[in-house]
Amino acid sequence: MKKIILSLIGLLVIGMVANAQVSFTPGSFTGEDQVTITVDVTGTPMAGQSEAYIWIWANPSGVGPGPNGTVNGDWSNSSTAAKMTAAGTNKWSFTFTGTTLFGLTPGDLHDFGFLVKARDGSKQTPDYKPFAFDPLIFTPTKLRVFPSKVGRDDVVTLNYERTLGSSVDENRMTPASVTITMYDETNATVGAPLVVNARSTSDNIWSASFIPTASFTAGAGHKLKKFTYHFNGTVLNASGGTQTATTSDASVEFTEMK
Amino acid sequence: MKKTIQLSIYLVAMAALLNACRPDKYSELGTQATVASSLTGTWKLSKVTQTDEDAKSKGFQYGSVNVQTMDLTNVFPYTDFKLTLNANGSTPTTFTTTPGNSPRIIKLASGNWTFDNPTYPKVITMANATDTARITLGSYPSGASPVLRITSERRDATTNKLLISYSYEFTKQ
Repeated sequence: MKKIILSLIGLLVIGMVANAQVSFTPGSFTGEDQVTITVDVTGTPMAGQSEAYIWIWANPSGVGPGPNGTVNGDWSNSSTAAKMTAAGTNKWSFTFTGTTLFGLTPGDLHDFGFLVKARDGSKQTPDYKPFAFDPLIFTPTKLRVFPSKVGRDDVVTLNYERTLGSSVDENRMTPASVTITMYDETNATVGAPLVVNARSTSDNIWSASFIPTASFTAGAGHKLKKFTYHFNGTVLNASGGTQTATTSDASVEFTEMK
Repeated sequence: MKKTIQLSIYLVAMAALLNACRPDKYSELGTQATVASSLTGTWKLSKVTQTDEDAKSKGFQYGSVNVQTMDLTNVFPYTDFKLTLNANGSTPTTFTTTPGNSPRIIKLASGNWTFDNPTYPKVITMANATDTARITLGSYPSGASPVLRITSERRDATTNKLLISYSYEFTKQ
C-alpha cells in the first residue's frame, strides 16, 4: 500500500515538474487569442535534438470534443506546419490560435495538451497537459441589444438591466417604454421616434422588440444606418408620488447582412 | 396411466409453446410516402426562435438569463402566419402565404415552389414572376411528429460569419 501511495505521489510530482517546463506568452489566453508555447525538453528523450515537432490535441480533460491539431500530420511523419522554433538550448516554441488550430468554437474549447516529438515519431517527450483556455466571458451592460449584432430586417430586442444603472434614478426606475430614433447614412433622422412598450423579462430586466424596416422607411436613395434608444419610466418622489425618468442613450449601428 | 396423462399434457404444452413462437403476421407497408407529399397542405406557424450565433459559439452564459437564444413566438403575432404548399402527387406546384398580422417571414404572397432534391430535399425555392425566396428545411414532418421546421441564417456580408439564425416551426392545419 505504502509503495502504491509513493508511486502515485511520484507520478504526480513528475507531472507537475513536466508542466513546470512549459511557459506561455501571454500568460493567460482564450481560444481566440494567439499564444506562444515555450517548452524545455531537458531530461526527456528529445534533449539534444536538432529539430522538434509539436503533437497537440484539444480538451484532454474530457470536456467537449477532442480533435488533434490540424498541423499534426501523421505520427510517423509530422507536417511541416508542426515544426517548432528553436528558443535556446533544449527549448522549443510554437505559436497558435486555439479556434484555428482545433477547428472548434471558443465555447467548445476548454483546454489542450501537447508533446514534443521527432518528425518520424522515434523520440518524444511525456504529455504536457492539461492547459486551460480562459473562457470568453459575457459582459452585462445597462443597455444591451439582442442579438449583439443586428441587420435592418432582424428582430431587435433592446434590454435594460436596472441594477447596472449609473444613477440613482436609473437604479430605481420602473421602465414602461423605449424611445427609438433612427438615422440614415447621412446622419439625418428617419421618420418620427418610435415608442415601444417595455415588458419585464427577468428580475430587474425590461425588454422591448422591434423590426427596423417594419417601423422605419429611409428616404429614396438612402438606407437605415443606425439608431439610438433609451428607456422611459417612473420613479417614486419624496412625497410618494411618481415622476418620469429616462435612461441615458445607447447607439447601435446596423451590420450589413446577407 | 398416470405417466401417459402427464406425457400428453407435456406434449400439448410444448405444441402450444411452439405455436406461440411463430412470427406475427404483419400487414403490407403500402407505398412509401414521399417527402413532397408530407410537405403539402396548410401549415400554421407555431414557434419562432432567434439565436445569437456569435454568443452561442462563445458559450456565453449569464445566470438564468438566456443570452444565446430568444423565443419570439409571442413577441410579434407570428402565429397568424400560414403557409400552403400544393403538389401534384410528388411534384411541387403552387404555394401561398397568409401573414395576417405576423411579420412576413416569407416575403412572397404566392407562386410556385420546387426543391433541390426530390428524395431528401434540403432547400425549398419559392418563386413568382419577380422574386425568389429560399428556405432551408430543418426537419421533415412525419406521422409521429407533424411539424415542419425551417431555418434561416443571417451572415455578415463582408466576412460571411454566421451571426444570427431563426428557427420556425409550423404545425399542420
